[in-house]
Amino acid sequence: MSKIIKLQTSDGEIFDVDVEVATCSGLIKTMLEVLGMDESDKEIVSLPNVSSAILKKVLEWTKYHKDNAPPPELDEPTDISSLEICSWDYNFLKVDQGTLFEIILAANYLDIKGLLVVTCKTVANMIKGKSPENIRKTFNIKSGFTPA
Amino acid sequence: MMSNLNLPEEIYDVIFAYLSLGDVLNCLQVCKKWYYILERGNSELWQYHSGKTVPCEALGSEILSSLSSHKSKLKAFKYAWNPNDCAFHNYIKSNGLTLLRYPEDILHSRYPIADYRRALCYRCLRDCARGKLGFEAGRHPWEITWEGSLGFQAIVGVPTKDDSNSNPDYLFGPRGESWGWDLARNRLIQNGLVQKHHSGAAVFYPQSPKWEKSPCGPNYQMLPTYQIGDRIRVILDLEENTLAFEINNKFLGVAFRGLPKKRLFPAVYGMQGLEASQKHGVDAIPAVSMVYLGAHFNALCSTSESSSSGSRSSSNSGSSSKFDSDDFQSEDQGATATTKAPAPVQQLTSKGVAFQNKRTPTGVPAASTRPMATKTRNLGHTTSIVTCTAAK
Repeated sequence: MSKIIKLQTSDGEIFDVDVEVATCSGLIKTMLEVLGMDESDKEIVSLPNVSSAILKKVLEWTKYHKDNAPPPELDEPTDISSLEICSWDYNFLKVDQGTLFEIILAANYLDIKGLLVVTCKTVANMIKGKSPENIRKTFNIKSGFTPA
Repeated sequence: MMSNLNLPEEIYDVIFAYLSLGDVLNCLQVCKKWYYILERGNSELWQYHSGKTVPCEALGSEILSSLSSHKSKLKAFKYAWNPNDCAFHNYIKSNGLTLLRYPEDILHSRYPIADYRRALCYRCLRDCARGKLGFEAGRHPWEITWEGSLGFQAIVGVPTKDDSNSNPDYLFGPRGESWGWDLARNRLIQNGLVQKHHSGAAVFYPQSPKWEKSPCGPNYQMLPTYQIGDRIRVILDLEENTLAFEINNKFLGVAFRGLPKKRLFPAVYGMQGLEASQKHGVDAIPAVSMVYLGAHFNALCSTSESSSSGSRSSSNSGSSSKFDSDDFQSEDQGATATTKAPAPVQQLTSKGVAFQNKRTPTGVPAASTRPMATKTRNLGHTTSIVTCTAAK
């Protein structure tokens, strides 16, 4: 019987999460190591930088990769050939850009390397092969350069 | 209108790490923030790309030691001599930066006798090479080191693409348009002709009143200003349309003014007597290295409508196919790109006009106008200023 940890998101919702799932996050893992497992039972770990909607997504991802497929290997991030992502991740990340970036931020904050890699690859795929103008359009970016 | 993409820089680093060099170059032009994130020259990203692109011989060599960042090394390599655009008996050393000549025995076995004879006509051997990428706008400094003998002629300068009828054996010849400095004789050469004053006396460069009044007459051959081991810096300023040189950071004055609005390539040309090369052996064979020091990649790529300018440039220069061996994606846009190119319409119109400009009573080529000189000089020294110009 695995332990449960309580995570509180920025909007106050409390999630009961299997410790094994939660420790995919480097942040929570470190917290638990520092606090000790027993005390964490009673305490609620608050995550002020993550909303409940995003935490749901993040937990969905970690659960899936814990149960079904090992999280993507943490190969050198500079390996360009590995831009592919598995189909489950692909479908999982078929979300609007705002959500995608929030997942990236959450993955960064919670220190979930696998999720960070796969989301960054998704963004890289959105950039790949596009002209600067198209990249700006894709992400709704203002150029900021003075016109030539 | 707010961008969704409001992420910390370290995340951008991860994202950009998954992109190819071409995509990275596109990202540079997306917005200021991306530009600055990528601009940090020593980031792992540039290390990765330069490690992948630039031959390791070059990365460890003395030649690139003056460049501090990985990005500038990558850039130097991208601009260096084009192995497909040098004389038939020349090749580019494995470092990708140095022009060399095949030893004679290899030449004999490797090439048809007719080619060899052609190379030897007038009992001279010609060494020459053009850079991979040309320039049509912006300010571009690069450094040339000429080792070995200077021979009869040793020209450093900027020809057009059409110069020499796409036969690189005759770069800086009378058939095409070119502007260069003959290191061996301290002369300026335009379109294959030595530049002269109205009096008929040759123009010396760098200018020295002492020389021009030499008792031995105006055609007296001076000892080269250039000494082996010196670093020549070529400063091509296509905003002011001038060409100037420096030796070991000493500015020598503007050599040419009123350059036409054409794509100009870095190039060198050397002519050496056969006897000299045989007598002095391998040491006499020129080894000419080029290191581009100029603006950021961003200057290569127009900030907008890059596709249209790219196609325009390729239709303009019919012979650009020769350069396609390089996979550098924004190559074509490179030359056409104009971050900022104010040019008097007068000079735009034709080479005739440009030529006339040069022949105005006051300004026969070599001359040094002070304000211009210092300005260019600064640009040559601190590439960061050039970068700023490009970033605009």
